[in-house]
Amino acid sequence: MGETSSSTSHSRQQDPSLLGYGFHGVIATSTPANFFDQQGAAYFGELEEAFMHQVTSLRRTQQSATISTAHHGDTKPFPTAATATPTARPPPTLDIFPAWPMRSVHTPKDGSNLTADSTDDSESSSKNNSNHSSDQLEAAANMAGQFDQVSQQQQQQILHKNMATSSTPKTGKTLDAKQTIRRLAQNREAARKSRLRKKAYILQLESSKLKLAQMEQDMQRARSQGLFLGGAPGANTSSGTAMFDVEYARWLEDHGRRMADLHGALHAHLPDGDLRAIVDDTLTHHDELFQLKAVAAKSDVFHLITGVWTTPAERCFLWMGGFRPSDLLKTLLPQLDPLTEQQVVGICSLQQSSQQAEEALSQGLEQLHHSLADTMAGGSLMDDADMSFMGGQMALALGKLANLEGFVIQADNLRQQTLHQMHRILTIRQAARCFLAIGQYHNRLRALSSLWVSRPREYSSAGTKELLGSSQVQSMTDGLPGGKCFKRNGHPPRYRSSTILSYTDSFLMYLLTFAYARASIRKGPNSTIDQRGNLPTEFFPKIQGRLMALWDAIVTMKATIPVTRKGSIIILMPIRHELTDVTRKAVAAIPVTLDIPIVIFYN
Amino acid sequence: MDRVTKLASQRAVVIFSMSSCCMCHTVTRLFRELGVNPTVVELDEDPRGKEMEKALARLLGRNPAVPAVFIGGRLVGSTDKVMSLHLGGNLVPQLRNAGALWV
Repeated sequence: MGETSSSTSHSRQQDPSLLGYGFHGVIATSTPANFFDQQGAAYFGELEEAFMHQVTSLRRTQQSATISTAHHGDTKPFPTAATATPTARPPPTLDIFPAWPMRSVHTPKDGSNLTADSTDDSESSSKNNSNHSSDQLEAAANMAGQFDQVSQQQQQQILHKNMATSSTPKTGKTLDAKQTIRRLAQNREAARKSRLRKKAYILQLESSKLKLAQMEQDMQRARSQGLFLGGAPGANTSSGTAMFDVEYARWLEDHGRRMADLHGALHAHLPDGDLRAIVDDTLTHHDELFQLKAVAAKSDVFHLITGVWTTPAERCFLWMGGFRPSDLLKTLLPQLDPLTEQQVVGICSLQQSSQQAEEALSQGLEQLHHSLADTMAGGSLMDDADMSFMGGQMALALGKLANLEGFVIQADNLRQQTLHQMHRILTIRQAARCFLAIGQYHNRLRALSSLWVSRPREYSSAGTKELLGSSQVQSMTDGLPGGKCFKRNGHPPRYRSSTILSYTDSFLMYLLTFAYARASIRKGPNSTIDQRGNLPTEFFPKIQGRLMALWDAIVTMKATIPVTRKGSIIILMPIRHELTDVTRKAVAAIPVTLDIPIVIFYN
Repeated sequence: MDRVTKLASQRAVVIFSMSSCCMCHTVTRLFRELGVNPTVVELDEDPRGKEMEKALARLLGRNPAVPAVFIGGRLVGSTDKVMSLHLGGNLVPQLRNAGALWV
C-alpha cells in the first residue's frame, strides 16, 4: 500500500488528473438508453474533439510513462476495462456519452458522495468524459473515492488529461492551475479514503476467513465426535470426509444448475449437436462425483456406507454408498416413453445385468460380514484375558474391514457404467430427459428429507389430525394425481403429472407446516413461537432455505405445465429474493384453523 | 506364469481367487448366476500360489492380484472389468464364444 501511495503521489505531482477511463465497460452497458433519450446531438462535436485529444494525449503519455500500472490485481466492478489490459493502460476507448450539466457535478465533492451506485457513477463519469473540462476531474474525484482499483489508472489519466488540457488553447491558464490544484487535493483525499476503505475490507475478509477456518475446525471436531464409529478417527478421516461433504455440496449446486440448463436446452428445441454437448457434459459431471466418492472411500469408507453425506430419504434407499442401479432403471423405464423395441430390450437387459452384478456384490459383502464376524468372535469370548485377541486377530479383522472400500468402489463403478450404458442406448433427446428424470427423482428425495427433518413434532399424530382438520391431513397424505388435494373454488384441480403435484405439494406442505407451527402457539407450553403468533426470525432462514430448494425444483418443472392447466396449480413468485415476502404473505393467507389448504401467490 | 496360462487354458472360465478374498467370491457368484460353472483356483491353497499371485499381479498391473478372470484362456481382468463387460452386454457373448454358456 505504501508503495502505491508513494507512486501515486509521485505521479500526482508530475501530472495532475484525468478521469477514470476504467468505467468504460460499465458505462457502455448501462447508460445507452439514457444518453439517447436525454441528450442531443450537440454533444457529438465535443465528443469528437475529446476523442482526438485523448488519443493523442494517451499516445504521448505512453511514451513518457513513468507510472506503473500497479493494478491491484483484482477483478472488480469493471472487468471489461481492467482485464482487457491488465498491465498496460486502459484502452483509449472514448466513452461516447455526453457530459452532465454543471450543477450535478458540483454537488458531490470531496469524495463524500460516494454512496452512489455504479450506474450513477458511470453515468456521471461517462457524461463527463466527452467534456474535457473541470467537470471531468471532479467526477473523477468522486469515482476515485468509490473505486479504489482505478485510482491508479485515474492518476494516470489525470496525468493524460492534464497534458491534454494543457495542449488546448491557453485561455484561462491560471484558472486552470488553481482548479487543477483543487482537483488534485480532492483526488488525494478521495484516494486516501478509498485506500482506507480497502484496508478495512481486507481486514474484514481476513477476519471472516479466520472465523471460517475456526468453524470448519469445530465442525470437524463435532463430526468426528458425533460419528465416532470406533474406527480410526484421526485427523485424516475427518478432514477427508469434511472435504468430501464440501465437494459434494458444491457438486449438488453444479448439478442443479446443469439440470436447469438441460431443461432449458431441451425445451428450447436446440439442435441435436448442441444438446449432445450438454448431455455429455452432464455425464462427465456424474463421473466427477464418482471420482470424488472414490477419494472419499479411501479416506473413510464408513462415511459413504452409512450415508451421512446424503439426506435421510436417500439413505432409505442407500445401497453400498449410493443408489441401486437396477432400481433406478426400473423407475426410469416407464418415464422414457416412447422407446423403440430395441431400446426397451437394451434397457431391460441392462437392468438384468445390473441386478445380477448387484446380487453378486451383495453376496460378496455378506461373505465379508460372516468372515469378519467369525474373526471377531475368534478364540473365546468368555475369557477376560483378551490380550490374545488383540494383535493377530485384530490385525486380521482390520484387513477384512479394509475390503469394504473395494465394495463401495465396485458399486460406484456399477452406477457409473449404468449411466454410461443408458447414454449409449438412448437417443440424445431421450438421454437428456433421462438425466433430467434422475435429477428430479433425487431432488424429490432431498425435498422429502427436508420436510421430514422439519416436520412439526410437538404433538402426537392424533393431535395433529385434530388441529389440522381432515382435509389437511388428506392433502398431506395423498399428494398424487387424482388425489383430492387442493380445493380451489370448490373444484378439485386436475394435475398434469404427479411430478408437479408432488412438488407443489411439498412446497405447500412446507408452508403449511410453517403455518401450522405458527398456529400452534397457543397450545404448546414450550412452543418457540411468541405470544403474537410469529415465528422467531431465526426460523425463517431455515425454512426459507428449504423452500428455496423446493422452489428450484418447481421452477425446473414449471415449464412442463401446459398453459391450460396453469390455473389449477399454484403459481409461485418467480423472483427468488422475494420468497420471504411470499412466505409471509402465504402464511398470512392461511387461516389459523388451516382448513383451506391452498395458497395463491401472485405472478 | 506358465502355470497360470496352463491352468487358464484348461477350462473355459478360470477364476484365480483366494479363499479369504470376498471380491473373488463376488465374481464367482456372478458367473454362477449367469449359469457358468467357473473353475476357481484358490491361490492360498495351491503350493505354487505365491508365484502365481506375483505373476498375476504383474499381468493385471495392480496389487490385489485376485480375482483374475480368464475366459477362453484369455485374460479378461479383475472385478471392475468383468462388471463393465457385463453391463455393456458383452460378457455373455464372450462366454458363449468360449463355450461356457449354451443357453
